[in-house]
Amino acid sequence: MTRGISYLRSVVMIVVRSLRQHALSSMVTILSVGLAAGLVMSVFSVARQSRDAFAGGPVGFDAVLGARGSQLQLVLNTVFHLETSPGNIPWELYEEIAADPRVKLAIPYALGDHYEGFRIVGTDSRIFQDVEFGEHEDVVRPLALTPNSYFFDEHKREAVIGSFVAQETGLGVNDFFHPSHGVDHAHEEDYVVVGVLEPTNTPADRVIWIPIEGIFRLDGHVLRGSGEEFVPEAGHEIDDHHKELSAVMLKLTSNRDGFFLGQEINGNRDDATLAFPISASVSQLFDKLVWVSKVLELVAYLVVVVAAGSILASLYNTMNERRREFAILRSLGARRRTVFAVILCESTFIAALGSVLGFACYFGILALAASVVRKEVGVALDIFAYHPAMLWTPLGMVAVGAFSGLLPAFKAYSTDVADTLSRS
Amino acid sequence: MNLLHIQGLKVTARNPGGANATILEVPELRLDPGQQVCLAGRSGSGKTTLLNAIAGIRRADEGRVEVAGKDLAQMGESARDRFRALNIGYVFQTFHLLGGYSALENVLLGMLFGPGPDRAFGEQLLVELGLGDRLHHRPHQLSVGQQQRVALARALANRPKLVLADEPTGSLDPGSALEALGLMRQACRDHGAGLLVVSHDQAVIADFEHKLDLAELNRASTIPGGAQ
Repeated sequence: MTRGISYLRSVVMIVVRSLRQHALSSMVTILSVGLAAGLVMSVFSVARQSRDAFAGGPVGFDAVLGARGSQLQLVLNTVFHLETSPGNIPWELYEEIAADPRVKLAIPYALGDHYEGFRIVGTDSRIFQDVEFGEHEDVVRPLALTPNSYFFDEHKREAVIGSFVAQETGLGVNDFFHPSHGVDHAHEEDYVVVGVLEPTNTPADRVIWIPIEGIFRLDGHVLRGSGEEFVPEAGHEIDDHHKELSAVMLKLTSNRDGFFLGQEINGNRDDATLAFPISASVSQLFDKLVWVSKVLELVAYLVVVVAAGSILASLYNTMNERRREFAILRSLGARRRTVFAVILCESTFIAALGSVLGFACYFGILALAASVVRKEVGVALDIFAYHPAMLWTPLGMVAVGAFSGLLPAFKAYSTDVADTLSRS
Repeated sequence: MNLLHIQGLKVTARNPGGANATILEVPELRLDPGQQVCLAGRSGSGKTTLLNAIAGIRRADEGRVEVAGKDLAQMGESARDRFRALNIGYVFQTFHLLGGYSALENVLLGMLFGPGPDRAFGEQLLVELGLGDRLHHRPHQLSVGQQQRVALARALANRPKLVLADEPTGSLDPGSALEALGLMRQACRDHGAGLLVVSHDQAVIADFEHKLDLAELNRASTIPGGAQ
């Protein structure tokens, strides 16, 4: 037993010494293994996590009713604020769906304007009371105000802004801003921020909420809800049949109802689309994009091959100078299998150290990805979430490392002691 | 029991033509425990081959090579490696110290494959050989004479019964050669190891009471300057 331990210790001592002796090449190799391991874990984890964040998280609603078109576009537009509106629907459709007994809650959305790139959503005050936002089912809650803020008055030009909007634009309570339409057209009206929301880690953080009436009345907006063009006049009520909406956000009484409602609307009507269930639409997107993650996986595997090659090359290159070292060790009584083990341990050790470094790379890449996704979409990736790749990548890397050591180890194994010593 | 008993030893090597040629043939050679013997032989006389065969680095093709009663010719390679680690110290002509390791580490390295590292004994050996202030120097920071003493300490590290030395003065200047030889002989005596030296240095040969001419000992017709 003690022999075994001292044998192990001698191997480890020689391995550590040799890694130190070739510090630069060891470091470069460890670094390349680390990058490879980090990359593989990231590719798998980011793919899983972004899918979970988009398709798995609670979005506050069960379904979206919008103009005839793609369900995916509807969802990306109204839930993730990533797309443009496929078109508008008349106010009557909203009243009709709101009256349906299967609908628990129907909130109108009027979209199309923005401020400094942030989406302005015209809606009513129920968005603050009846809808819950959150990154996971267990942390959902209604939108909450930071201290000294208020929700907007539906009859005033007031705005409530998401936390990310406040952070990026610098807008705060009592600040004024002009909503814009398109790239260069700023509306004349100015809106005052009355509320700043607490972060939700959802796309809602990137939204500016204003009363829907305000959207109708923004200068330059023309309403076509009745089929004719109508420009609202200040001081006069807008008749409902002129109003038009981008979408109606729905909460339903049950999934079963959602299924039938979807069949009715998508199957029988040609003036509207119901996106239900919302996560299914997003899943479709990820299914379409699955080849992207396949390509990334392939690239990651190739990087692993390159890393394995660099282990092999770094060991193999030192073999000529180390042949003498191994011959000396042999002359001191080291057995063939001992020098074989030394090289194999060295390559395995490099791979193991690289894998540890791989976790640093992994967290670095994920932190970067999370901040980009957060900035662009508002959804939060969980950097520390577990993925099986975090187990099998280091294990696989160590196996690959051991394998890469075989050839140099065999070269050390077959060194002829007498020949090598007499030559040096 | 003899420390070393060689009978009918034959070592062959493949020559450039591809045929096997006998490069060493020693009918008989004995060493008593603790005895110090010098084999006189010039380069090409098969001296390194003989030492390698005794150390078990090179396998005997015929005959017996008994060290402390064990026949190395009957052992497999791995057993010979282990036997060498425990029983035989080898001081190479060019020392073969490992450049990446300090003097003490070189000695400890010699112990790794034998009974295991014994730092105190390693330090003691180096102190005895006058290297007490050079323990942590790398070989390239040492003089040639000091390097040889490190090699000697390494050879003695596992308390061997037999020390082999190949041209121990070959790399030294004549002034210090005999002093180095004296130190080696004294150290082997102190640690109870027999010593077998091969050399063509007349001063070395003259220093020994027991000497043999390898040219007479080796019956193989060796090619001068050829494989040793």
